[in-house]
Amino acid sequence: MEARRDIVVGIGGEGGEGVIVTGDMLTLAGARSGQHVFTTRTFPAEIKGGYCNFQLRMGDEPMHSHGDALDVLVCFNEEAVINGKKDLRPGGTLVYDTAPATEAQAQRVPGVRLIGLPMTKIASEELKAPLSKNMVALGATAYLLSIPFGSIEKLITDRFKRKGEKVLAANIAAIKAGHAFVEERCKDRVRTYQPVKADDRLLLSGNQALALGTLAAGVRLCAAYPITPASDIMEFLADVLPRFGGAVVQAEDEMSALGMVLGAMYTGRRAFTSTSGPGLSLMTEMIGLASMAEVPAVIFDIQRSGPCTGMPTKTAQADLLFAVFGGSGDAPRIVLAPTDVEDCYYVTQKCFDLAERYSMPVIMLSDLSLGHRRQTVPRLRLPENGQGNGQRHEQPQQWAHYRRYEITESGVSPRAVPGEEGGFHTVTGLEHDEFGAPCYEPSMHQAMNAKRFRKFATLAREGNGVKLAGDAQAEVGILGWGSTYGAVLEAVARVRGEGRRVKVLYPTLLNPMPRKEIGEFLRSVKKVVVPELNFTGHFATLLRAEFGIDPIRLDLCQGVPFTPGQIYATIKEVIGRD
Amino acid sequence: MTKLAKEAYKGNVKPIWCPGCGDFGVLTSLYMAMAELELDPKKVVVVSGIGCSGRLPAFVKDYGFHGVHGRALPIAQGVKLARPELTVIVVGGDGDGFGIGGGHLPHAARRNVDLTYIVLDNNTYGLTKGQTSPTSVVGYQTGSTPYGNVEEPLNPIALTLAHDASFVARGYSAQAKHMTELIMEAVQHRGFSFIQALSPCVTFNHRETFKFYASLVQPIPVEHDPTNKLKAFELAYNHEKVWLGVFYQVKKAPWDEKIEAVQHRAREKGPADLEKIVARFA
Ligand SMILES: Cc1ncc(C[n+]2csc(CCOP(=O)(O)OP(=O)(O)O)c2C)c(N)n1
Ligand code: SF4
Repeated sequence: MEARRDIVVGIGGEGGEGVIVTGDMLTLAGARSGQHVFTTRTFPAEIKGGYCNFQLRMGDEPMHSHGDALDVLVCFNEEAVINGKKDLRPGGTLVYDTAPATEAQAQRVPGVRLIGLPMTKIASEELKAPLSKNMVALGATAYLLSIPFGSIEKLITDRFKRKGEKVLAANIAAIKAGHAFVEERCKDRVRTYQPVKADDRLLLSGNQALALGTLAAGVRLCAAYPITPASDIMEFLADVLPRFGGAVVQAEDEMSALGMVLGAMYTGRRAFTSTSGPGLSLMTEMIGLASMAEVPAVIFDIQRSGPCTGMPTKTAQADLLFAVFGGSGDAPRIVLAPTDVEDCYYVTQKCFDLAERYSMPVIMLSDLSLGHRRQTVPRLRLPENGQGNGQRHEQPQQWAHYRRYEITESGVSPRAVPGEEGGFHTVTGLEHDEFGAPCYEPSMHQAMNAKRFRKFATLAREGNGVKLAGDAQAEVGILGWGSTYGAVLEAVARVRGEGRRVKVLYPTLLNPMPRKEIGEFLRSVKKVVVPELNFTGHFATLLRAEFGIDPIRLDLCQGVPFTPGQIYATIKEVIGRD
Repeated sequence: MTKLAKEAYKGNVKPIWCPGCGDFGVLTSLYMAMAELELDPKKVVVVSGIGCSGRLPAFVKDYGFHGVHGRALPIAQGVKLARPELTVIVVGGDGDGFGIGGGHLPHAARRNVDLTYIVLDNNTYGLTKGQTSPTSVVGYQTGSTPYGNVEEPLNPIALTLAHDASFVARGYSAQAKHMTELIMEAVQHRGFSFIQALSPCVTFNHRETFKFYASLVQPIPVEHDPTNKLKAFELAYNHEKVWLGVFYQVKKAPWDEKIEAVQHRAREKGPADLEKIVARFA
C-alpha cells in the first residue's frame, strides 16, 4: 500500500444507476471524516439515462483541482470501462461489475489491478433489491478508500429512513455486502488515512457558495429564468430567501428577469439574476440601460459551452468578451470572475457592493465547472447582523437641489430612491443632462460619457484584489482568470517542486482591468502564458488590446476543465523554449 | 399629506409631443387622478418603455423609470416586488406593450401584480414615424406597409381579459374626466389593472383620429356586470361601438399578498438565520 496524500476516484455508469448518489455519499463521508474533498461530474446529454460520471479527489491537504489520472475507477457498466480506462493511471485499481460484457471489457485493460465486484448479482440475486446495485459499489469503494463504515452507514440511514424500514434495510445490507466482499478478497486497501474531526470547514459547490453570498449580501429578490448550469442557484434560494422577507421569481424570460432586478435595485433593494450564455445574450439591451441610466444591477453568468445552445452540460469560459463589450454604444460595466468555490461567496458580495457604489451593472463570470464542483472550504465569514441588511440606506435621505446625474469628479452621482424627500427624478436610457432630462447636446453627450467612464478610474484607485502565487522572480508567468486557477496552482507547484521558477497572476476584476497590477506582472516576466477554456483567446485578446502584448495562448475548448497535467506540460514546454 | 393641486404633479421636463397629440389628454388625466387620490409624489413610481408615450414619466414630478422598448412591465414588477408600499404606474404605446413587449403582459396579468398599466393606444408607431402597429387595422397604409397592412389587429381588451387581468378598462383621451375616474379606480384596484387609453396620433395616423372616435365611443351600459367575463368579451368584440368604461373587475389576491404568504410558509419551515442555513453544509 502506498502512503498517498490524496487519491482520485472515478465512478461511471448509466444515468439512473445511482452513480451520483454513490459519489455524493463518498464525498460527504470523506469530508465528515476530516478529509479535504474536491468533486466534479459530467452530466449526460440525455434527459433520462445516458452515461454519467463522477470524480472525487480526497486528501489530507486542501486541493485546488479535480486532479489528473484516476487511482480508482469504479464501473457500473461496460461503457464506463470504455470511457474511463484512458483516465486510469498505470497500476491503478479498476473495480467493475461482473456482468459479462463489463467483465470482458475490464479484462482487456492492461497494467491495472482488477477487482471484479458482482454488484448486479449481489443486489438482484442475494439481496433481491436490484436498485441497490450502487450501494454495493459504495460499500466496496468506501472500504478501498478507508472511509469509516459507520460514517457511510449513518449517511445512508439519514437518506433512506424516510422511505421506510424495508428500503433502509435493503440499502444497509447492500453496503455491508459490498464492503465485506472486498474486505475478504483484497486486504490491501488503496489508501489509508487517519479520520479526524474537522468542523472548521464546509462542503460547498460554487453555486451554493454564490447563493449563500447573495444571502450574506442581503439580497431580497432573485429573478431568473431556468437554465443549466445556473438553475440550482434560484432553486436553493427559493427555499430560503422568503424567510428573509425576499422572493424568488421565475421570470417569463431573461429580459424580464433583468428588468425586475433593475426595478428592484432602482428602489434601493438588492436584487440579482443568474443565467448562462443564452440568457446573457437576451439581457444585452438592458445591460446597456443599467449602464446608461446608472441603475445598479448584478448578473451572475454561469458560463457553459456555446455559441448558441452549444453544449449546455459542458463548461467553458467563452463569455468574457461578450460580458465586457456586449451591447450597443459605450456602456461601462464591471466584470468580475471568482477563481474558486470560496471566492464565489466573497466575490458575490463584492458584486453588490460595487454595483451600488458605482451605480452600474456588474457581471460575475463563473462557469459550469466552478459552479458545480464541490469542495471543502474554510468556514465562511458571516455578516454581523446574520442576514445582511438588503437596503442601501438604513434611513431615508433628504435631498435638496437634487441632480441624479450630477457631474462629479469620481463619476458617481448621489442616488436617491423612491420614498425620499426631494429626490424626484426619472432615470432614463436616453442621453440626459444632470437632472435626467433628455438632452442631445454634443458637449453633453461627451461629458456624460466621460462621467460614466470616470467611475472606472475611481474604481482603479480602490486597489483591486488580484491573486498572486508562485515565485516572486520568474521568467515565465501564468496570467489567467476564473475557474482555471486551481489547476494552474497545482501545475505550478509541480513545476516549482522540480526547482523551476514560475509565477501566477489572477485578477478577480476583469473590467476595468487592474492595469497597474497586470502591468507590473507583465514587466516582471519574459514569457506570459494565458490559459483559458475558449477557442479564440478572450482574455489574451483583452490583454493585447490593453497592453499591446502577444501572450502565449493555451486555449482549450472541449467542454471540460483543464487538468493540472495539461497546464504543467505547457509550462514545461514554455520554460524549455528559447 | 395635504392635498396638492394637479399642477404640483407636473415634472420639470416639458412634454415634447406634437401639438394636439392624444397623449396630452391622458397625461392631464393622470395629474388629476394623482391629485384626487392625494398621492404622495415621493411614493409614486411611473415606469415606461420607449415611444412617444414612453416619454411620459419625465413629465410627472415623482420617481420615474424610462427604460427600454417593451420592458416597462418587468421593471415595474421589480419596483413593486422590492417596495410593495409604492404606487406603481406603467405607461407606454401599443407597439411597446403588444409588439416588442407582448411577452410580458400575460405574466404581469396572471401574477396579478398590484400596478396600473396604461397603454396609450394610437394604432401606430408614433416615435418611429408612423409604421403599422399590432393594433393597426388590415389595410392600414404606412411606410412599412405601402400595400396596406395584411395582419389582423389584436384586441387589447380581449387580450387582457384572456390573460386573467383583474381590472380591464378603456378610456379615451378626449374624455379627460372619465379617464381620470378610470385611472383613479385602476390605481385603487388591488391587483393588475389595465387601461387601454385611446390616444390619437395626430401626426401619423389619419384613420383613428379624434373625429373617427367622436361618433363611435360610448359608455359601457350601466347594466353591464363587470364581474361577468363572458359579457366583457362580448363588449370587447363588438365592432359597431367603441365602449368606454370598466369591462371587467374582480377581487383577487394580488402578487404581494401571495408572496407574503410564501414568506410566512418559509418561516414556518425555518428561521431567517444565515448561520443555521450555512450549517447545513458543515
Ligand atoms: C429594441 C428597439 N427596437 C426598436 C426601437 C425603435 N422604436 C422606438 S419607439 C418604437 C415604436 C413606438 O410605437 P409605440 O410603442 O406604439 O409608441 P408611440 O410612439 O406610438 O407612443 C420603435 C419601434 C427601439 N427603441 N428599441
Ligand atoms: S408622433 Fe403622434 S404619438 Fe407621437 S407625439 Fe406626435 S402626435 Fe403624438
